[in-house]
Amino acid sequence: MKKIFSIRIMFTVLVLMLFMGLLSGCQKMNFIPGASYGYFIWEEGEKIYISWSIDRKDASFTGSIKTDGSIDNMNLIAWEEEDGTKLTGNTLSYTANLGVDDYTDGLVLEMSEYEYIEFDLRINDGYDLSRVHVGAFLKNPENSPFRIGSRYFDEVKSIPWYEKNPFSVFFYKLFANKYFTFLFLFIIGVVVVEILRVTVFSGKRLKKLYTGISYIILMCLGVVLYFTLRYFVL
Amino acid sequence: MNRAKTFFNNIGRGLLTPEVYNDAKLSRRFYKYFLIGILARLMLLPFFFQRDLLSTYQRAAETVFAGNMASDFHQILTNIIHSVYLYIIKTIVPAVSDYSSIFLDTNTWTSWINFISGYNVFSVLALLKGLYLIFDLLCMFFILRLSFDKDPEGRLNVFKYWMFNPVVIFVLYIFARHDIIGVFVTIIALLLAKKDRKYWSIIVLALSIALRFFPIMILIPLIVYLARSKKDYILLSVIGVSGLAGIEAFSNIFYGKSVMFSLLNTQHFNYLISSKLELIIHDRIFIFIVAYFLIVFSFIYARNKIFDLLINYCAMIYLSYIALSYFHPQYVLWVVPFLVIIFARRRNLVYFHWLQFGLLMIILIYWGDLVTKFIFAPLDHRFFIYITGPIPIIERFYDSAKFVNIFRSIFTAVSLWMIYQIYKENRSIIGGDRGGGGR
Repeated sequence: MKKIFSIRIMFTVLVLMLFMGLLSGCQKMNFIPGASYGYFIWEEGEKIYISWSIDRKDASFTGSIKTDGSIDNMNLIAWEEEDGTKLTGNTLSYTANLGVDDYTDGLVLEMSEYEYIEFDLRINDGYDLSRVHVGAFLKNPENSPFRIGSRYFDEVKSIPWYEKNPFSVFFYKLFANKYFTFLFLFIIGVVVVEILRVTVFSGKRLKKLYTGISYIILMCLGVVLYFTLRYFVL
Repeated sequence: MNRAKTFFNNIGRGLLTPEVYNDAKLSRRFYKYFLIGILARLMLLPFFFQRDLLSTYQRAAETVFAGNMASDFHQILTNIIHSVYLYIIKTIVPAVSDYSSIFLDTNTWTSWINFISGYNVFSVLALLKGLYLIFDLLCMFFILRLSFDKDPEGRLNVFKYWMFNPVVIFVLYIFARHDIIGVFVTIIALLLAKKDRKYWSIIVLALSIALRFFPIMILIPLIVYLARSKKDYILLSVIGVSGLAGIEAFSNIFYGKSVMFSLLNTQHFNYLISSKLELIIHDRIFIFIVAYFLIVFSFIYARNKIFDLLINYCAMIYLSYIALSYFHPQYVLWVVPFLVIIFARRRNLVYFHWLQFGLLMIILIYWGDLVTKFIFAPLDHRFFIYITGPIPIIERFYDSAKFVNIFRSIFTAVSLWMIYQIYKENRSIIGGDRGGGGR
């Protein structure tokens, strides 16, 4: 019985870890061609990847990528005949359409000696900045065209998981409404201690002592949680 | 001290029933189930909801903040309950009043965005869903009185199946819909029927019908169960429809329009007649109506109409509804009070119910973002708005309607199989007799 319980706990923890990993996008930029919608930009090795995708609707993706360095090499991903690029000096312009059977297009750029890269990325001749993910999901630019520095991707990679969506907003809301949060957690804690009291501790000789210790641990956890949330948010 | 002890003992006996309370082992198990069930509920309370919860409280806010009594014309009683509750919580917790502008915002998108992006959203959500927790608590203590009078172990199992029921937890604490209010009143009506308070039972069921229209499906079986004479049939039928008649009269007098005709023309009524056999020209057969009356006739012709048999037939009716008609996920809650009693006798049906729930989670994908990723939006609205939803992912590989409908068909098969299993059990309840006369 205890073995089954432990297996269940381990399974739950594993699922939670996977879920957290998926949510925080702990790997490289994740998107599903033909399902995800928007631009996805990331760095891998020394190369910069710019991909776009839409949920199998007709859409045109146009724009330009400019840099103060040089574009040494360019590769096209899933490019069709009607899609086009034009390299003029340090500026690369592109026009590419997606549709029901065309899930994604993309560019791989190798650049050198640059301080910035400037992006002007359009969807159907307009801007939808919430759909432009640069370095990580929901790392959206505020204006368009927008620039990123040469260390931008390293900076994004160094952002800890608790400062990424959805954890950042979740922790912020918990901390912003701390009276509710700690009352809520205290009630949850009391219920958990009661469950322990009537199950795990019920047969024990020192059950009152264990229950008392559990309440002390609960109080300590509350304090630890307060400072952890404070550290995450502030 | 002794007085206080007696007082709490009496409360314990009242809540748990004396049979369970007086048995130390059973009462400890009861407490354990209660705590674990409450923990699961509390963990979900502040974080998730479906947009319709906000709509329900927006209509209540129209009544509370703007004095508009006709804000929810179709569900007058439900709106009154929500309005009273909103009035109470806004009085106790002034932060709720800060949300009045959001509640009164008629733009569904901006009001939703403003609601979920507010940093008080968890506390307000916990308060709004608190009403359903209250009715859930009431249901869990009343439902164990519906059956197993001489079997406290059976009663405890009924309680357990309610506490850990995935549909109850999902509909109330993730989806956050108000069907539990109607379910509670229906349980009271059944309890009165069990105690042979026939007129009170039908009056309360009429109230339940006025709250939510689903209990009308069990009106005929309940009348058949309660009636002893022709006079009873007439009187109970009149009282049964009086809830609807009362609401109709009220809506005509106060709002100058008919709620019944308005409801008959809504899409919700069409759900009942959504599955049909097309014959020729205008001729078609509505499958659920056929199934419904077959079940009712079967009950009419059953011998020994004991209360457990009524419970079984009610379960069969609601199962046939979700098996054969279009429904919203929260409607599945209506079958749960009957199923939990049956589960205590037929444990193997629990697995089919969990299968139903798993399939329901797939079926609801087709209702789109509103009932899938947006449910999690209070955690981080931008993240859950912009993350790719399940429909585009499925569409990428296969037709999403076909995909969902494959699981919908399995859901129907599971529900029909459960009906068959319950019907088989009916034979043992009525002592192997099939058909025959009345009571």
